[in-house]
Parts: sequence; structure tokens; C-alpha cells
Amino acid sequence: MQRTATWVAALLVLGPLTAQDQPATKTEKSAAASRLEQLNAEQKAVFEAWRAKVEEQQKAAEKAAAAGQPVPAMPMQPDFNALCDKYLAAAKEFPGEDAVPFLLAIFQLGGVDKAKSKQVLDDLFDHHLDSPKVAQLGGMMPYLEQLVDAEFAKSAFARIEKHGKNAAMLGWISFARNEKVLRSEPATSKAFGEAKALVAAAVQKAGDQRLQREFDTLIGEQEKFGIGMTAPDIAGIDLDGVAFKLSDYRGKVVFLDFWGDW
Amino acid sequence: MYPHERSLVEEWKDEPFALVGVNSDQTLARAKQAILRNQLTWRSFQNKPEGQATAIADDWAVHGWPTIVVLDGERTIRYRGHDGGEATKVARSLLEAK
Repeated sequence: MQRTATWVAALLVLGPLTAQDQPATKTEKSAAASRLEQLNAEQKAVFEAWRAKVEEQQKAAEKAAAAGQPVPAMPMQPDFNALCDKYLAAAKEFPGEDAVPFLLAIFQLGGVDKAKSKQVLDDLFDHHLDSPKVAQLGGMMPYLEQLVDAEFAKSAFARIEKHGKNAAMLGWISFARNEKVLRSEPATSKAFGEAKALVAAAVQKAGDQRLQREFDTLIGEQEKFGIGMTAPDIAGIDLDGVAFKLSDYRGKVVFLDFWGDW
Repeated sequence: MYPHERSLVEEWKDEPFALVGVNSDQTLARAKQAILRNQLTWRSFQNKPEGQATAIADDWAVHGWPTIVVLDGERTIRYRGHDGGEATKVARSLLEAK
């Protein structure tokens, strides 16, 4: 379950990945592109088969529940491990820049185990950092420690910094390294100011719109709603339609809970 | 989260403390059912009642639920995040300092 959440999170941070590549020759381009297309179609088929199975199991579970019998567990996601191997094989078959789309496609899959994801990231960070496409994984950097583990994140960051030429990835790493300070230190503090300046410089060099957006959002929020800032008042109505204000609680410690029961 | 919040309200009933909600349910009926079912005794703002230009959660840049913001008596933000335990620690230390 935790792994499911992890990979769902991975999909969210990665966003849509480019499916096409620009290989060296016309013949290779055609072969690599059609292989990618074929594997992406297989991915869709695996997903559809899983969905059909879940629907079938759902019906069985409803029957079991109605009869007071135990409800069998259902798979939370398709098993993409076999397909992952095929993407990896294709990445070996079409080396160099051509391999990158196959490796990136793996991160659009859920249900790939941690060992395989390490293997793919190793390949990308050891051999393909010259490819600008690798920056599509940039959004994963702030979560790499949670998605894989702390040791791997440390090693990955070190490799990217040693390579030193992928400005977008360097920008994401600067963001990842300083995010904790930016989120936890008062926006008026020296630590916050220094971290902000450091990341701003890296973001400017990175030329990555997603990173720029994330950075601007974080800074904007922290400078308005960060620790140490004065919160705006709220003048609204309660669930019975009676008007009240947050400032009615002046002098009290307020635990303001944004909640929902959906 | 509800039992924990109920226990805070009970524990700090004689302290300068208030638990205030901002409810983002789609309908009022659903919010009220939740209040009855979970015996919530505190007041909640409607996130975006009819006629209100913007949702409170949007104004406060809330992107995930639940989000907790702990404010001191001067409305200074002392905690903002999703960790109820951490928010409680911050609120407790503020109350102890009063």
C-alpha cells in the first residue's frame, strides 16, 4: 500500500513524459520509435487487463460481503515488472540518446519494484545526464529520498553534481537540498534568505519552467503563510450560516484545521 | 484525526485555546453529517459559501487536506503542515508559555 502511494506520488511529480526521441539515423529512428509505440501499447493492454480483473473481483467481493463471507484482497495496481524488463531490454538495444525515452517511460508505470527503479535511475544518471530529456525526472529529486532511500538520493545527487552540465537537474537538486529550510525557517530569517538566494540562482540557470513554477509557488506561500508571518483574518460564516471571524479568537492559540469528510 | 482533536478540545477547555475548522465538503449536508457522526463540537467556516468570491483554502494556498495552521494569540503562524502530532506539540508549547 505504501509502495502504491509512493509510485502514485512518483507519477504526480513526474507528470507526462515525452514519448518520442531523436535518434541518429532515419532507420534507427523508425525502429526505436516503433518499439516505443509497441511497448506503450502493451502498457495500455496490461492496464486494461488489470482493470477488467478488478471489476470482476469487485463483483465477487460484493457477493462475498452480501453472504457474510471474507472479502478477498484485490491488487491495487497492475504488475508492470515484466513490462519494465522489456523497456530495459529496448534501452540496451537502442543505446545512446535513443535509450532515454525507454528508461523514462518506466517511471510512468506503477507497480515497479524499488530495485528496478534504482537500476533505471543508475543507468540514467551514469550514462545519460547529457540528455536534456533526463530533466523530466527533475520533479522527482525532492522526493527521491522517500521514493527510493536516503543513501541512493545522496549518491544520485553527487553523481549529478559531479557531471555538472545538466543545468536543469542541478537546479532541481538545489531546490531539493534547500526545500526543508525554505519550508521550516521563518521567511524573515537569515537562513531562509540565504537558501532562497542560492536556489534562485540555480533556478535561473536551470531554465526549467516546472522548477521555476514550484520555486515561485513555494517562496510566495512561505513569504505569506510561512512560520513567523501574520496570518490574514478570515471573515466568513459557519455551517449554520452564522457570521464569525478568525480575529474573534485574538489572544488564543488557534488550531486552524482545513478539513473535509469526502 | 477527529478523536485526537476532540481530546485536545477537552484537555484545553480551560486554556486560551480554540479549534476552528474550515470545511471543504461539497455540500453542507455532508459536513453536518460528519459533525454529528464524529461528535465535533467546534465551529467551522464554510470554505466557499454562496456569494463568497474566493474559497478560504485557495486564499490560504492550501493544497492538501487536512492542513493544520497553528496561530498564536497575535495570529502569527507558528506551524503549518499536515502533521497533527507536530501541530499539537507547537500548540502545547505556546499554551505552556502563556
